[in-house]
Amino acid sequence: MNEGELLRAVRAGDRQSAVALYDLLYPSVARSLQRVLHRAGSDYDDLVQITFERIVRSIVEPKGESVINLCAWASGVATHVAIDALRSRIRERSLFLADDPASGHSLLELAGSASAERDLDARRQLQVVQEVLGRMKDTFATTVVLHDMLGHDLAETAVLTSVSVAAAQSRLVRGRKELLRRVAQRLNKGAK
Amino acid sequence: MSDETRVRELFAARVARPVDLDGAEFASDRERSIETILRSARQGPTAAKPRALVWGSVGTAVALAASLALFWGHLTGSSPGSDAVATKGAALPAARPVTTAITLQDVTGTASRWEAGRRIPLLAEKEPQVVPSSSELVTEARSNLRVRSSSGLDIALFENSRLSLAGLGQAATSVSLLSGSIRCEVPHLLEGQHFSVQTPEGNVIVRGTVFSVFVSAFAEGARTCVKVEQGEVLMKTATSASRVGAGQSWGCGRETKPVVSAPEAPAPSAKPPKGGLRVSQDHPPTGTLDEENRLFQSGLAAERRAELAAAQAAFDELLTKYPASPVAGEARAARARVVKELSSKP
Repeated sequence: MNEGELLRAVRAGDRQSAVALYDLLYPSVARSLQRVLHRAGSDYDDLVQITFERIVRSIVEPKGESVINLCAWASGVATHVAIDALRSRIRERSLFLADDPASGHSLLELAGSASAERDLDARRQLQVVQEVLGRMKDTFATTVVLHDMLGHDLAETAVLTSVSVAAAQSRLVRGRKELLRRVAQRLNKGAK
Repeated sequence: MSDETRVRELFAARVARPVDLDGAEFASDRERSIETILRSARQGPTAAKPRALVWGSVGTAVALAASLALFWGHLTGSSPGSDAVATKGAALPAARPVTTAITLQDVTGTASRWEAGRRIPLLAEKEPQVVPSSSELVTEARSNLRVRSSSGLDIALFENSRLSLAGLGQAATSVSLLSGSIRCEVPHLLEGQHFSVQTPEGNVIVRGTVFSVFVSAFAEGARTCVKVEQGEVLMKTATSASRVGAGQSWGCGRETKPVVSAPEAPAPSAKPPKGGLRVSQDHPPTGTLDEENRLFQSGLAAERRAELAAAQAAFDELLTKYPASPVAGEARAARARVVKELSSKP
């Protein structure tokens, strides 16, 4: 069964094809969501559902087969969903409640660690990066994540963000600078 | 330290962490997802079309295209889990990937394949040699070979060429011509299926039925020349999309070394067919860009296959030989990632 046949079968409501589509795409979806979110929240499964809904609704249109490589597309959609989720978490101030290293959960974990201080720094950095990604301009954050975190090359990143390669390159350069500037700012602030 | 290296270091912990597909931490309800798929399919498309993704394209500016050539490995199926943005309608599995068998035939002259950072000389013989899709094929002067896939694809690789087969492996059907020239004979395609040749300047996308395409690409100029014998192709770059029909060509007028169209479909031979597509032996030297690119891609490919020692060796070789390479920054970051992963293994 080729992609076109698979999508047509999914559109026709064929359950086996839906299972095949899930099996094909879930690794890409999971990889993008997990790398961006880093920690599973209670909403992880909801984000998976949102991602699949967006993917399927974008590819089941009559000419949807032409959405080239489905896995790459799924990765792009999941990245958008994950960054949106980061923004929501920050808005709700839940991110740092859940991930705060000062929480009992974190301290328990750290108690068994021989390099507690280093772990704490690493966690702190992870949190800061997380927050900065959620606060950055969406186009910059998405471009940096797709390229530097998920390993899509520049041409793929351009396609996944619907811009030219030149624009993607520009966003990547500017996005990296913004990310580094904000991270440094927050880490310095925290250190004082 | 470059911005890229610093950003990759910030992300290193996430990248190094294995994806949890078993639900140990990131639990997802499979059945619920399947219901979501079925329900969404019933509800139909969204208003906004995301199909800017339809055809991956590569920049046209020569400088940009040349730099893109450095990252070409990703396009071919590459990046850590990256999925090639390439063809549509490629063979898809019901539940797991279907592997396409790839064989090399009619090898003449000096040719080799690169895999996991190692050069493996190809024996000059007519008997088919099975090769993995992770191979990158390289021919030297007065050398050529033929690539065939179980799906009926037939590619003649001419002298002084470099071709990555990564897109032929499983779901996708594409190849990446990094430099040199090829001639493709593509079997009849089913509705919705496509085959594409990716070049530093854009993608040559096959449409129609049986036909042949010539592509000549030079990494240093990122020029692509397409000549169609039968059928039709779509030449897609970052700024344009052109249909090229039988007897027509695309991009060939810009060549400093004219490319002559070939007659009917000869097999590659020690001496390129008279009047056939050939790359002049005295075309401008490619410098070390190709080699740098090859080492970088080999490292990434090995990393994707979890062959960490081979990946480290490829990155080491690149950084030792070409410390000022344009991809040195990425290579250092990738090496750091690999070393970290190696050290975390028991």
